[in-house]
Order: sequence, then C-alpha cells, then structure tokens
Amino acid sequence: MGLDLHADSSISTYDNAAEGRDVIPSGTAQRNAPHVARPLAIHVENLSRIYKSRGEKKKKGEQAVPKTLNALDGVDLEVYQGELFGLLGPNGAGKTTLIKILTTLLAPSSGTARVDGLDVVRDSNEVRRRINMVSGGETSGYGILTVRENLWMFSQFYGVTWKDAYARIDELLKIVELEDKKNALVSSLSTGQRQRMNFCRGFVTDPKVMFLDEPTLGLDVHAARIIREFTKDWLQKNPDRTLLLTTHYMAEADELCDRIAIIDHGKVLACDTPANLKRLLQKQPTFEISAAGITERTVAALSSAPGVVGVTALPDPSGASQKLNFILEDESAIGSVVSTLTAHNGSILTLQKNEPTLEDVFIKLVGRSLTAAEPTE
Amino acid sequence: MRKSVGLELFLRGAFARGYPRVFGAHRELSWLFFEIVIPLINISAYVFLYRALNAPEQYVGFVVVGGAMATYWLNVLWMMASQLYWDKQAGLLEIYIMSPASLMSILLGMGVGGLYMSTLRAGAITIIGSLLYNVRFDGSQWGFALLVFVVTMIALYGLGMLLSSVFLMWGREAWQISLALQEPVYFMAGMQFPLSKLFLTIPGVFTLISAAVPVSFGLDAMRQLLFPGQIVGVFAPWIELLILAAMGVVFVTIAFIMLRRMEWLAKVEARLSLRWQ
Amino acid sequence: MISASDAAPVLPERDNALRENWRTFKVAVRLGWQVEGNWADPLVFLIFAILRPMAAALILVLMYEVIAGGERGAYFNYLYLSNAFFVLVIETMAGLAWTVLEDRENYKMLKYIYTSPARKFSYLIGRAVARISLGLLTTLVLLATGILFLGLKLDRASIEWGWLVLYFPLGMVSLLGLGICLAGIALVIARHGGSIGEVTAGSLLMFSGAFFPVDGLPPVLREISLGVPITYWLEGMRRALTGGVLIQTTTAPDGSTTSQPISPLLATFDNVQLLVILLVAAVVSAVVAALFFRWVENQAKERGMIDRITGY
Repeated sequence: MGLDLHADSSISTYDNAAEGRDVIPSGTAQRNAPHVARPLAIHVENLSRIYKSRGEKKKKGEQAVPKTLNALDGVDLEVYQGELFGLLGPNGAGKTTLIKILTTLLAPSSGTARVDGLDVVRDSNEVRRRINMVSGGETSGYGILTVRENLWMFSQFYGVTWKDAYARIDELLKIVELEDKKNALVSSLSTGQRQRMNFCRGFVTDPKVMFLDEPTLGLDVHAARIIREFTKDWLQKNPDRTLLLTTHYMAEADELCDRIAIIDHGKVLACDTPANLKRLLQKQPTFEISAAGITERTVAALSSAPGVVGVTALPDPSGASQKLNFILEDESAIGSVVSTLTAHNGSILTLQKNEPTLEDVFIKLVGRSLTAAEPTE
Repeated sequence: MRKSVGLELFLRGAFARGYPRVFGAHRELSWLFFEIVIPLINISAYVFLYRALNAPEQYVGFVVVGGAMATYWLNVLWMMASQLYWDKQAGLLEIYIMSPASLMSILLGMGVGGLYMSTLRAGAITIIGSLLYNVRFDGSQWGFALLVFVVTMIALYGLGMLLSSVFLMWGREAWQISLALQEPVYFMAGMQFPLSKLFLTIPGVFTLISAAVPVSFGLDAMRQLLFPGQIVGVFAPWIELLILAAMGVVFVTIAFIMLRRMEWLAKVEARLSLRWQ
Repeated sequence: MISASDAAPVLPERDNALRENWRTFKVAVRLGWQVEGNWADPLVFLIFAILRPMAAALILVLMYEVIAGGERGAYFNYLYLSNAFFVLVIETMAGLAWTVLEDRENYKMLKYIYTSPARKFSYLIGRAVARISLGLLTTLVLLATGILFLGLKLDRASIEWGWLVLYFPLGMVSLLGLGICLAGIALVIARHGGSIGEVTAGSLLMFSGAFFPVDGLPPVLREISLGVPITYWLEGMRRALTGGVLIQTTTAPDGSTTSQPISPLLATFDNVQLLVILLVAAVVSAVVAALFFRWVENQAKERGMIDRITGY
C-alpha cells in the first residue's frame, strides 16, 4: 500500500461553514495558480507575545527588577493553503515563539492567530487535530521502545487507527531510509537517526498544516536532501496541505519556499516570494561577461546597445581578457549585448547572471547576517 | 485517514501512554533487582527492628503490607506526579500538549502502566516477605480487602493526577517536592506502624494531613481485614472505604479542573518548554 | 615566512597531578552546590533538605514508642544515634551515584567531562561534597532535635572526642570508596537504576546494625554484616558519643535485672581494634574503588554508555 499522499481529511470543510468559521472550499488550493483565490491556512493578526522575567539583582540585598521581552510585536501574517512558507530570522527573532503560539503551546499576549480557520486559543483542541510539528535537533522518544513502537504511540495521540498507523509508519521509514532500524530500540539510534524518526512522527498523522522548525538541523547532506525532497513531494501531491518552515539555511529557503517572511526582534520585516525579495535589492538584471578582443570602441558600442542601462569594463588580472559588468533593462536585452560584442569581433569566454542572494536580502533588511552577533552597519 | 475523536481517542491515548510501562519495562530487567530485592531488604530491616524490640509478631505483617503499599506511593510520586516534569525535560510534554489527546488520557495511561509495574513489585514483595517471615494473612474477607485496595488505588492515582497538574508549572521544585514527600508520607501514612498509634501521638492538624493521603486509610483498612483482631484501626474498614471512595471522586474531579487550569497557566507563563530550571 | 611570533599560542604546561586534582575538585564542589541548591531560597532549601531524614527519624521514634511506650532506654540511644549517622551513608552513596546519572541523562554533560582533561575522580567527589555536607548538617540537626525534643540522652562529659575525631574520617573514606563503586555501576545501567545509591544505602540498614544489633541476624547474614565497614563505624560513633559500649538493662518478671551490651558481638571489639578495622577498611575501600571504577569506566566506554540516554 503506497503512502496515502492523497489522504482526505476526516474534517469536513462544511463543518467550518456550519459553525460560522471562514469557509474553506476543499480541493481548490493550487500552488501554481496564484490568480485563483486560495483560502488561508494560517492567519495572524497583530500578534504579540511578551515574556516577563525575574530580572537580575545588581547588588546584594537589592530587589530584582522584573524585565519584559517583546518576543513578538504586532505580527501580521497570511499563509495560504498549499503554500510552503518560510520563516527566516536570526536567533531570538521570534520564530519559535510564533510557531509555539500557532501550535497551541504558548498563549499570545494580544492579537489573534488562526490555523485552518480556527482560533488557536479558543479552539485549541480542534487546531491540534489538524496540525503537527517537528523541531530540528529533536531527539524525543522512549529509549526502551523500538522506532516502530514510538511512532505508533505518537500516532495514537491523534486517534489514527492501528492499520493506518503501521502502514504509514512503514512507508515513511522507507522514505527516510530508516527501514532497517524499525525494530531497533530508540536508545541505540544515532542523533541523526533519531531526528529522522521524529520527522516521521510529524507526518505519520497526516496533518493539514505542518510546522517544521529547522528540520534539517544537524542532518548530513544526504539525509537533509531526503527531507527536502519529501517535503516538496508531500505538498505537490497534497495541494490542500500547508507547511510552515523555519530554517537558517538560506539555500534551503530559496529552494523550497513559495514565500518567505523575514522576522527580526519580533517584527515581520518583509514577506514575499524569494524572487521578489531579491528584486528589493536589485530591480534590474545584471550580467558579467568575460571576453577577449575588447576595445574602447566595443565598450562604447555596448553601452549604447538597446536595453543596456550601463556597462563597466574591468581588466582581467591575467591580461588576456576583460570583464564586462552589464546592467540591463530586461533580461531579454542580453541578446543585443551578445550580438554587439560579436559584431565588434569580441569573443565571449564566460557569461553569467548575477543575482543578489537571499542572504544579501537578509543582511540588507536585518542589518547583520544570520549568525553574526553584531550588526554590519 | 480515519482519526478517532471523543472517548475512542481518550482510550487510544491512554493505551499508548501505558504501553511503554507495561511492555517496555520488561526489556531492561535491572528493575527486578532494584525494585524487588532492595525493598525486601529494607522491609527486613524494619522486621528485625521490631523483633529486636520484642514486638508482637503481627507487626511483622504490618511492615510487609506497608512495604508493599510504599511501592504504590513511590510510583505515584515519581512516575505520575513528577512524570510530566521528566517529560518536559525530554521534550515530550510539548508533543503531548500539541496532540488532540487530553492530558487526562495521557496521565491515565501513565497511571495504569504504573499500577501494573507496581503491582508486580508489590506482589513479589508481599509473597516473598510473607514466606520469609512467616506472615499469615486471614483470607476470610479477601473480597472486601481487594475492594479496599482498588478504591485506594483510584484515590491514590487521582491524587497523582492532581499533583502532576501542579507540577506542570514547576521546574526543579517539582523534583524536590517529590523527594520531600517520600519519607514524610511513609511516616504520616503509618507504613511501618499502626495508623491509630500515629493519630494518638501527633497534633490534630497533622492527622488531617495524614488522612488526606489515600494510603493511610487504605493501609489501615487492609490491615484490619487481613489481620482481624490484631490491630486497632482508626475507623471501621467500611467507613474508611467510604472515605476513600469520596477521596477518589474529589481527587479525580479536582485533577481534571486543575489540569486544564494549569495547562493554560503554563501556556501563558511559557513554562511548557522550560527545561532544567 | 612564519616567524616565531606567528606560531600558535603555547598551551599552558600540564600542571602536576595534585594541582590538577585540586582544581577539578574545587570547580566540582562549587558546581555541586549550585546544582543542589539554586532552585530555592537558602531557607526553603534547608527545610527541604532536613525534612526527609527528620521524617525517617520520626518513623523510628514512633516504632519504638509503639512497643516500648514513653521509656527512653539505652536502645533508644542506639537506634537514634545510628539513624542520625546513617544519613551520611545515604547522602554519600546516593550523592555519588546520582551525580553520574544526572550528568549523563539530565544535563548531558558527562560526555564533556570525559572528553576534558578534568580528573574524573576528583570531579565525582567534588560534586558529591554538597550532598555530603548537607548530610553532615542534617546529622547535627537530628542530634540536636533528639536531645531537645525526643528524649535522646547524651552527656557532654561522656563524649570521647579523641575517638570521635579518629573514627569519623576513617568511616567517611570507606563510605566514599563504596559510593564511588556505586557511581561506577550507575555508569553502566539504565536510568531507572537512578536510585541505586539510595536503595543500596537502604539495604545496608540490614547489615550495618543501624536499626538493630547484628546479633539478631541469621548466622550467614551476620557474617556479611561483620564484613561491612559501616557496622564498625556506627559502633565507633555510638561509643564515642555515649562514652562506651551501650548497655541495656532488662527487668525480669521476678524483679531481677540483667545488664548486657545491646550488641554483645560488637562489644567484643575494643576501641583500638575498631580503629584498626576502620583503618584497614578505609585503605581497602580506596584501592578497590580506584581499581573498580577504572574497570567500569572502560566497560562504559566499550558499551557507549558515557552519553547514552535510557529514560522511559
């Protein structure tokens, strides 16, 4: 029996309508059809969370001054059904606080958060039937039970029947390449294997909304790739499912996410597709061409070629060629650049498109890199 | 995929949580030594003390039964009341709270699993202790004694659920309080001596505290039934049974209310994932 | 070209073993106190620390009362004094074994200790010092409570300070040796053996003459108890505090009285013989503990137990 990636939820969308919640028509979320109105899977409005701590005593005998920390400060977020939504931010930005509120582990101080149309505070039990979460680096589980038993046990807390649970567990273990360990005690697993087991724990219940908090943290390249492939595949085959992912790996966010929100100090700084976020930094495409036989006349001709906004020529240290940096009005203008070059007897050695990376966007918005302790500006 | 709700989900959750204790415990057998042989040796120390004091022989029986009941108290204290604290440290509490299964069902599973483990131990201790020290039980009211035992367990594990709701909020204080409740409850419940003697010796307010621990009246009633005529009980067994039944209802009800309240408080104060504090 | 000033920083020279042990010990003592006590205010912490042993003492007092009534004879002194010092037995054994389990399973620090140059023995003992100190404080509180409220009869003039000063540290060395052996066992067993120290200490109640004279044991068990250093240590502490062997006077139905030592078997050893036994026991405990722990450590490394989590 194959993995039931087309699982239909036992929760009827008409239940939502009957109970006065947002109507979420089933089966209409289409990840590649942005013009079709998609229902909201996660809706956060003006969400705040304040932590209070006892504070520190500065001097002996002095009373400790209580401190407050605004972990989330008026966050607004909309995640559509079928999206793979990324949440990027440095440590302490508020990502985990947001996820904990959405997964009913933490109460907000103010504002509202809804998952699948249900309020996470008022309807927490209903929310729990629809979600699951996997945290990266998680090694939970009872050491005295086998992998299969642990996963079965967790599935029971969601009411999954034994037959469905075992079938799903076996399929998931095969996907994450833990099949040979299914009868091994959890205490004998390596850290990476336990993480993969916990990854399965999240998906064994077939949640409507899945929260992945740094799921590939600490996994080797191969295991991380398996996780990413599975994640993409799961959403492709289940367009009515939604996934919210936090990660520190920019490349992972860039590769996987339909949209990304960048969060810092409890505020969402930007929220858009990776491509649009990069365009924040650089609206026009840039190209770098390394070419031989370039003269001043060639450069002059190139700068007035159709679609070329600007060109700078830099000598290549080897002296054999020149590097030319182009800013174009549009990508299609590269054709006129190439034809102008060849018309002036230039020979192209290399051609590459330069794009700002997500990290560039992050640094621009946050003021420091993901792991830097001090701001760069 | 069909997913259970309501009572079915409740029972699935309880069964699943009890599973590690019932089946998992047999995979690491060192508990056989630590939790049967060592308690037997502890009981033996008290038996020899009574013999050195030239106590009447029935006191040996009291100590054996008391030692067996101590197993249940330790189980309630360490594997129920403070279990959510341990689960919090292991990162499991978050998984439980996030699931649709209620905490009551998880605790019920823990309780039933723990009851099974403790019954194995207590049974072994009672049988071996009785054989070693020639303890003779009167079996004429074994049914009544069994009923008292069952009702005592319901009340005791209800108390365990109640304590676990309070421990949800705490960090290491939970562990320290569990430690602090071990020997004092042995004393207050009269595990090594007749409860009536304790009630005659300690001030009134402490008798109330003693009475609030289900083990006290449960043990007193069972001793009266298993050793009739050899012990003066605080109340007649049937009265103590009624008190225990009332305790069971009260503790389970309060536990239900407190669990919801404490879970909410823990979410507001962000204590559900505080570890090793 | 790399010059001398560009070379990698020179690591501090390896200190001599004694200094390294002392340094590890100091850090471990401080850590032990922080771990034991930082969850509450000092007063609350002290109350909690004393509550358990006090309850255990009250259990014995009440058991005695149940049988002997209000009379406080020599046997009460025997029972109460033994119990007060037995607290140290529990704290030493439980402290050492629990340190290993706590560091491995709860704080997951044991592997870092093992991969550091810190001296493991000194670390263990240092970590246990907090509990041992608490044990000592509890013993003193129990003695004071016994004298003030519970009828323990101790005459200051009868205390033999010289023997007290000799017996006490020798007994503690034996206890530490035994505790280190238990800590080693804790290294290779699953989590639910976390009470190994406590339950082993509890089982020593049978064999150490703490509650009742060893004379009351069956012959085989009596021989075992005579091989346990704690038996002699407790006897030594009782004698040092009461000025000699405890004598019980019993009145027969015809009114005649007989006096005999509470433990005739142990009474056959004089103070010097007790001292020699304790000295030999201390040396043997230390040597056995060092060798056993080293062996068990190797077992733990082979089985991958230094960083294994086994809780359920």
